[in-house]
Amino acid sequence: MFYNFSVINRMLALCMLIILCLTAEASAAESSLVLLKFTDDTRFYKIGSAEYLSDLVMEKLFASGKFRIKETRTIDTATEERLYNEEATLERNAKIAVRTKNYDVLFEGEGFHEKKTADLDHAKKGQRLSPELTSAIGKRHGADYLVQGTIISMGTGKMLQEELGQWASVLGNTLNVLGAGRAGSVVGILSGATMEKNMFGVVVALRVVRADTGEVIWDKQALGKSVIKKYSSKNKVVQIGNAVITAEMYAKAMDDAAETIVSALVADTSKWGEMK
Amino acid sequence: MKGRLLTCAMLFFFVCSSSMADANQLDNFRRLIESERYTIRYEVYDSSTQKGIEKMTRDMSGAGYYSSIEKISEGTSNLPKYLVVRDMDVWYSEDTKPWQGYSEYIITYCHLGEGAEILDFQRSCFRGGKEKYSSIYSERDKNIVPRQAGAYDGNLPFGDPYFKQVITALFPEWTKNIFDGYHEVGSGTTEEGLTYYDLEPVQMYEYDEGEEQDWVSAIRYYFQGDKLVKISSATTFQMAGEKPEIERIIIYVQDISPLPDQKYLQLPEELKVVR
Repeated sequence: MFYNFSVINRMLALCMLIILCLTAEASAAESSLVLLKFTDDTRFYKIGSAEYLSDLVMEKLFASGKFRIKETRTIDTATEERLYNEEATLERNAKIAVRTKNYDVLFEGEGFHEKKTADLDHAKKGQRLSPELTSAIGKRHGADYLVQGTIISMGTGKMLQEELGQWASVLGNTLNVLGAGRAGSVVGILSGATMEKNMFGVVVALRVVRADTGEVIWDKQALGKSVIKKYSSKNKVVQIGNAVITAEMYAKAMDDAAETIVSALVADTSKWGEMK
Repeated sequence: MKGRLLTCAMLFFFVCSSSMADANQLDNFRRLIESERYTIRYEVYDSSTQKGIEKMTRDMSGAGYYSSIEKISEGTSNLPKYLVVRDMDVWYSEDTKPWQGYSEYIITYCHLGEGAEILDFQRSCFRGGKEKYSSIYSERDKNIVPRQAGAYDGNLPFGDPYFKQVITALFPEWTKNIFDGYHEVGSGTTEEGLTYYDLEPVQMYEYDEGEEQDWVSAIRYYFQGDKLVKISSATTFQMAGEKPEIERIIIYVQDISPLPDQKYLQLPEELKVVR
């Protein structure tokens, strides 16, 4: 009996060890990140699309189960604000250099690094932000990576091809967001009918920054869209569907953009094992 | 004894010539510019312009245009490219701004000058396609009408105004009537082994409370061996009570030669001068 108890203990210990190892491996595969304030480059920045997009992205990152999100809201403090405008650092370094006659602090400092990017919200893969700032943010929030997004463009246009990067259409400058309502319904397919697609689209960019080095390790763009199909009969007497953009279409396009860009990030992260 | 004297003399000569060679890299570059015979290719990074251009390309008509710009940038830097060629009184400069390309269509603006006369024309092509020369007003027009150099054409022989600024900084006598000029304040070697020389204005302004302006400027020239490879320039300017304005310029020198490339110092065959 004593022997059996000892064997059971050993088996239990072995099971616990296996569980611990699996858990540790799973944790190592999850990257810890925080979301920084998203920005909107379009003329419609006042309607709050950047905040809406950041909420959608956070929700989808969480749902993917691939990341440990260290904060439940985007970070937006004075330190983070400096990432969006690093010229102040450059100005300080310039004055120090003049006073001390040591121009290394200016020309060999972060402001003149080969891959330096001026601002976070326009940064591209391979560029660098100030590691002093990014590592401070990472340490404060316990995050290895900083994620930031930008809305690049938003509008309507006729859709000719499906693939992002092969669009021949032009996103126009008008955005009309009406109250909730259906864009129209499709009732069967009339013989001899023609189909015209109208689209509301939003182009977004997302980037991932390694907190310890300030390097932008990933950045992609995605197009989110919602489509209205308008059918007309041969003699144009009957039309079904309309081209009015509704709040529902706006929400669908934003959700589509967030889903597309997060899916791309998850796919690339899976290929690497974890974010490099 | 004679052997030792000879060895010492050779050593002395070697040390002097080495330090003279190292110390004269900037002087060698000055002499090249003064000779008015050279070919120089370079790119310019200008922080404020680059930011505006990136925003502009994004604001343009949607995903199709944006992805075209990305394709143009693939495999090559997206910085404005310049070429300047000089052979005494004859000079040539061209500038290519990749972000203005649409659907991979690139336009290069060219200027050929001799004395006070300038010929303006352009070269255009689809990426990988055949280049065409034409008037700057119409791609079908092959007639070029010469014009007289005006007050605003002083930058053209240098390509880019910033490049002219860093060249002018080496010659205080060029600006002695309006500006005290720059002087050398230091030199050294970077971690990557590049030799550098620092210049700052003879007179810099730093404001105390109540003064109008605060101005800081400096230029660093980088050499790899004897070859100029990079020039970094920083200027900050602040009026009392206002936010500082920062200008960060980096000029990457791709190619520099004391031989003027004669191919560029004549009008392309397909164009005709019409007076």
